[in-house]
Amino acid sequence: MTTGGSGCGRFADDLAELALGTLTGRERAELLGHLEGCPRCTEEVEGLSAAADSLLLAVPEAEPPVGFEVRVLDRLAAARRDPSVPRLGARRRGGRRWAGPAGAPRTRSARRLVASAAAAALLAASVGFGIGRATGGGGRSNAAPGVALNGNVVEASLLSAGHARGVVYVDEGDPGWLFMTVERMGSVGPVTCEVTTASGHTVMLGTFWLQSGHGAWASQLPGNLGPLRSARVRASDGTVLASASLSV
Amino acid sequence: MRRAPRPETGELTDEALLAGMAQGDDASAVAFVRRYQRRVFGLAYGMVGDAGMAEDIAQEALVRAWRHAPVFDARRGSATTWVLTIARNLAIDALRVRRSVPVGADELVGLLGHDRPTEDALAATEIAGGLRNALAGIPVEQRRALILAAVYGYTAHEVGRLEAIPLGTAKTRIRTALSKVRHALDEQASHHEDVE
Repeated sequence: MTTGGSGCGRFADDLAELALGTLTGRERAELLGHLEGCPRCTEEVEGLSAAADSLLLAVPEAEPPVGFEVRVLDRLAAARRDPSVPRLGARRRGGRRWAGPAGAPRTRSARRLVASAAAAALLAASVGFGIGRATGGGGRSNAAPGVALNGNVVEASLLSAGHARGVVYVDEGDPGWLFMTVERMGSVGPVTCEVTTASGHTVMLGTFWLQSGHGAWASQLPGNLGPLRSARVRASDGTVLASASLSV
Repeated sequence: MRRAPRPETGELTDEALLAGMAQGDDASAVAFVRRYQRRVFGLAYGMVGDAGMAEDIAQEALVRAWRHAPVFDARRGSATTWVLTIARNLAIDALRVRRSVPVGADELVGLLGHDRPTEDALAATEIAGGLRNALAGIPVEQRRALILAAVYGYTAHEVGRLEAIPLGTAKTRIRTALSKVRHALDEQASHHEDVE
């Protein structure tokens, strides 16, 4: 290891786990505090992260079952025909990219663009590459919890110990979408998003990936959830990293 | 003005195929699926050890890649790593939803534990070759701990439990193995710089 600053040695194991996205709890918090003042360890984490990402390249190929290619292409054709499944990130004729949560009142089509922007984020966030910021404005992490933007769209801050760590947008239309940006979470690796409905039912929406504490993610909401009370981001060990109140 | 002939899709880079898909080019989509299906299925099968589940994962990964192609940013990483990470995350989700143990882990550890040539095209790439060489030189217990953490997303606590070893041992194995891989990649990069 190339660390050499004061106290670096005791973080040797944790650096690798942080790079792999599997470090949680107090250990993670302590290491992140150390990294703020230690460029050497920060560089080490970045190098280890690159090594971790590259490991997937070493897994050998395998021949898929007969007919696999046809089945995939059939699914692509079906998705292309289905107007309810927008091509993520695709521009709509006569439309424009969503410019941010604040601004002119939104029409139904503008809310659809929210869904498109959210969906666009899903790609990048789910794989740990981050995104070009579809929301603009640096994530607006100071947004108040549970603000009804327009129609069915709700914006809420994602909070961790009282600190803003991102924004959650929920479009409770049909289909409904949840879109979240995560910033400065101090974590890398997989995290899970779950929501709690007004009736108290908790639903896990999926897993996405943080890189250098940042990421964005979107998911279409399952049907019949109704109004949502809250959303949470959990670490792989179940620890709640941040939460947002969606009650308006 | 004379136009340059359009290259065949089979000659295009991965990133160019994604760009073509993003523009709605069907030929690019077909070429992309054909180019990636073995890699994606191989990863999924290696992780879950079940052909049916692996096919579901691989199908979904390729459909998601097609759907998200318009926002793929080549500056942030390679198309290959991007697509494989989609598949990897889907496999992790599938295993955890079904509360499956990583039955494919043993085989994956074995597959990544030798550096003999394989027939797949990816093996021909220098990165994959260097990685496999590096992994082959790592003791099996370290390699297994690393794969459980890096591929399956298990924490050191979980690795310790799965391997029936103390937490400190799990941490050390993970760290040592990942450092070896990193150094191997660094050396490979340095070698390339020297050659150039």
